[in-house]
Amino acid sequence: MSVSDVERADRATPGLSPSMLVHAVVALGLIAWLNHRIAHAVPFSVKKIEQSYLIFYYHLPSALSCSIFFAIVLVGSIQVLRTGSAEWDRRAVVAGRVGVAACAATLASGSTWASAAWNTWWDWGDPRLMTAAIMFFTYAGYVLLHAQVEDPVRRRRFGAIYGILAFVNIPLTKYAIEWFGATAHPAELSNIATDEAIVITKSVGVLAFFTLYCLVYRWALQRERTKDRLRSVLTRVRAIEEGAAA
Amino acid sequence: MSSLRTVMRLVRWECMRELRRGEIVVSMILFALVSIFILSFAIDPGTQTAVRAQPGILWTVLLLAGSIGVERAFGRAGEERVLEGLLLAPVGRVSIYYARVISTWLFVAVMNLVVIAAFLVLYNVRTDFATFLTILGGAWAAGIGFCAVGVTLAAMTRTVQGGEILHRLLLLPLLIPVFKGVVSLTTQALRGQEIGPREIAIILAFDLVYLAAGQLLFDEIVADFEG
Repeated sequence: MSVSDVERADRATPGLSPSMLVHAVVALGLIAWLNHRIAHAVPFSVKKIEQSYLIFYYHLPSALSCSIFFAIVLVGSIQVLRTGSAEWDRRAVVAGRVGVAACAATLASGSTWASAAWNTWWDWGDPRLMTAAIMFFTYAGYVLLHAQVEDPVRRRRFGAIYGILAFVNIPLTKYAIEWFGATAHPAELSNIATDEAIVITKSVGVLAFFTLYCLVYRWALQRERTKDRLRSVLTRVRAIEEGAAA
Repeated sequence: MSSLRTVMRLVRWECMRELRRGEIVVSMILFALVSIFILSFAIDPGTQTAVRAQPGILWTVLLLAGSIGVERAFGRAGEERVLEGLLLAPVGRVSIYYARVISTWLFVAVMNLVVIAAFLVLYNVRTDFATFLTILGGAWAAGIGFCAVGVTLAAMTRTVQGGEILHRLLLLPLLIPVFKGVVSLTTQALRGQEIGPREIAIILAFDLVYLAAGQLLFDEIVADFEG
């Protein structure tokens, strides 16, 4: 397959299918509902760390979503090693990319919150913050490795192997940093979240952002499928052309 | 031939080659020494800050120098197809893996010995022999897991263009737990304190987890080269 064929396949960008459009409308609707609740429904009397805590409703959903997508990477990686499935490989790597994006959103929103709540943009001793940052680097490495290996079978296998190593690293890092550091994180946000209005808003937030990330995931997965199909078609066309020429 | 003897033969073969060329150990040691000098310009060794930063400086240097060694676990320049050759030999994959981990560990261990001694002398750390042995023991213990995961990653990245950078990008985040442990251990040793159980626990856990994971995953990596 020639270089221009690869480029052509890589540029293939399918639009949103009708069901994805509905998905998008639902996600945006949920985010609008979340914003409405933050503005009007959350009782200000129970807030403990001043208004800066409101970013929590954007911070927590991204953090939860990123863990879910990293778990999908693990499941996909195990499936790839078991069956060699190309579809699970696509699911895993797309989940990795969306997870890294969600992780970046978590770090950015958390850092913004920290600047108001802890009076510092970055707390080097905080286990959760540092674990999230290390997760960001490991999974960015995973995505990079997947992109750099050229042979498709090898790419699948290597990606899966690092996908497993990256997951194994999470508990080790967490304990290591917890043992040798102290946290500034609000111990349990559930402590301030006993109020019903807060619990509902938190759930709406998680639902809204998870729906949004799922939309990105679906779209990217479809793009990846189209790309792979187009590549195999182009390879076959070239083979036929070469056969005809010879 | 039993697999233990196979492993020992492969290790001896690798050490012979290293003795003849001395490429890996020497480049690791030189890199580490240059880094120590660079860092001495950044943080004046005479100040109180430098004294507190000593464990961190030492370990940053050891980590980066060690990553040079494990990255070359499957061949120096011009020997890119060593692993393929080994796979053709009637030798089990597990033996190949352990032989590589052991020989790489030996190289890193020699580098650790030289660099830790040089560091203590250059930074004028007044300390007894027992402290030196404690730090070295920590380095050698942590080196097992370091080589176990480094060798696995090297088997993958050596086939990728620009794999050297990728190898470090993939390796360094995985080393954070053990890095935390050994830095803390070195701090305690230099202060003359008792070594805490957590430091030992994290180093052992790291070794066990990555030896097990490394062996299993190495099998998956080379399955691809054979097939």
